Amino acid sequence: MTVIDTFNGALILNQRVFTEMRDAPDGVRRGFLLILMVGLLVGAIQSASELISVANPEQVVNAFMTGYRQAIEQQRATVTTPEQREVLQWMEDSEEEIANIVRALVTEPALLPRPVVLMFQALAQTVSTPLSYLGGMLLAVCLTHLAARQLGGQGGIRAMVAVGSLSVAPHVLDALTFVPILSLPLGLISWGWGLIVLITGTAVVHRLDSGKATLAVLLYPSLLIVLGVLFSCILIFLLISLAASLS
Amino acid sequence: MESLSYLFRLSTAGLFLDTNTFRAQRDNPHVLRDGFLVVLLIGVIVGVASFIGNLLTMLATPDPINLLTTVQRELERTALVIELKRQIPTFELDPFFTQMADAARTLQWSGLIGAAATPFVYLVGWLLYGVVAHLIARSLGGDGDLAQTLGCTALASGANLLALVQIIPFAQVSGSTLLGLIGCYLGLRAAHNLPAWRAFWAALLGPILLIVVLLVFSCGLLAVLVAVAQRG
Repeated sequence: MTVIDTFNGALILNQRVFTEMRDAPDGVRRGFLLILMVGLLVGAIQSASELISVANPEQVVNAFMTGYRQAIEQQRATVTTPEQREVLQWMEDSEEEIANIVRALVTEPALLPRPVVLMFQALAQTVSTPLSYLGGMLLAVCLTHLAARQLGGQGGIRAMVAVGSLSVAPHVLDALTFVPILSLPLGLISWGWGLIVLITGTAVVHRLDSGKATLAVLLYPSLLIVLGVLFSCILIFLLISLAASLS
Repeated sequence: MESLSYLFRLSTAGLFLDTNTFRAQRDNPHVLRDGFLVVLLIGVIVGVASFIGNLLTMLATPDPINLLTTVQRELERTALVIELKRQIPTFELDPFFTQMADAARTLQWSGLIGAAATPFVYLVGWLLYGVVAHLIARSLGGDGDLAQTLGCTALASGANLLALVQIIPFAQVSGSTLLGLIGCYLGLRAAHNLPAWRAFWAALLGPILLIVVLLVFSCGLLAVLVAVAQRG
């Protein structure tokens, strides 16, 4: 089965492809090949789009200054004391110097010519994208595998990595996220679709029903989110108490 | 001396989690020697790639001292800094930027030195992890000897082949730590014939202990620094 067949099978949740990836001795290699293919495609398109936007330094400066002005406007809505308003005014008066700093950071010459540096940056983004997908996939697979084993699953980690790699296939849609209006919906679709592929893969590898497989995929991420929220609340409470006791 | 292609095949077994090669490595009569050579080979290859990448990054990055000078010059002109200087006469940006420049000068060569030390770091990490994991695996009922533990966990360093991407300046590596840990789990399971959960704890307890020790050490160091600062 070619990598394109595996890719197509993953997208349409073809059970035969999932079973074959689970049982194939070279499943992990084929899974990584699929991640490499999707990652390089997405990385190349995104880096090309970024290359166009950073090629003109003034465009970068303008984009930064738009964000800077927006941040000041947002702060203006929350300030309460005259001192805070004064500081905001100073920041507003410093716009030209801040733009000069950004311009210097973007245009300061290196030993290599700027086009070569830009090409290196684009190449780096292209080759880093598959690795970032791999890192995310491995984390999701490890957490899912742990939960699945606790829920009575019988699959091995090697099969789980092989089948879990298929969940990267829908992220091919990320290649179009450079279009601003499509960025959020496409990102959500590819994430949700990847989740469904991972749930299907978990059910196949661990021979679990879809309910338990869904629980296995969502258990630890939900737990981590709840713990994160709890920890943030405790931290905010402590900071408020500290501030109250100091004043 | 084993051929390079054989050692490379062993390395890719760790990268692609080939369980059969892990099992075969346990019964390899030269398990420790082959493991050592695999870690060394990967360390040298990644080290060379990282050295080239760091060198190109240095050539493609503006001089940090020039950048700091420009940033300081422009900051001195901002209304924020002018007002701060007017209200607090002792306020100066110089000490901060001098410290930043010193740090930049010190760190300028750290990437290249780190890259050159890669084989040594990989070998020391492998030996330390292997010994700790062996003790834990034995206490959990494992039946492998130290040579088998080291030989099998050596294959897990195949995950570090992902770091070859560093030959391209600015490229970011991710996933190698988790993949390496999965490889160590498979290696310990093969070397000690351990059931899944025991192999899991044998693979993870070492890094968890290391994190706890580092946290305790950092907290102790912080407490000492605070105490010294309060006395001062």
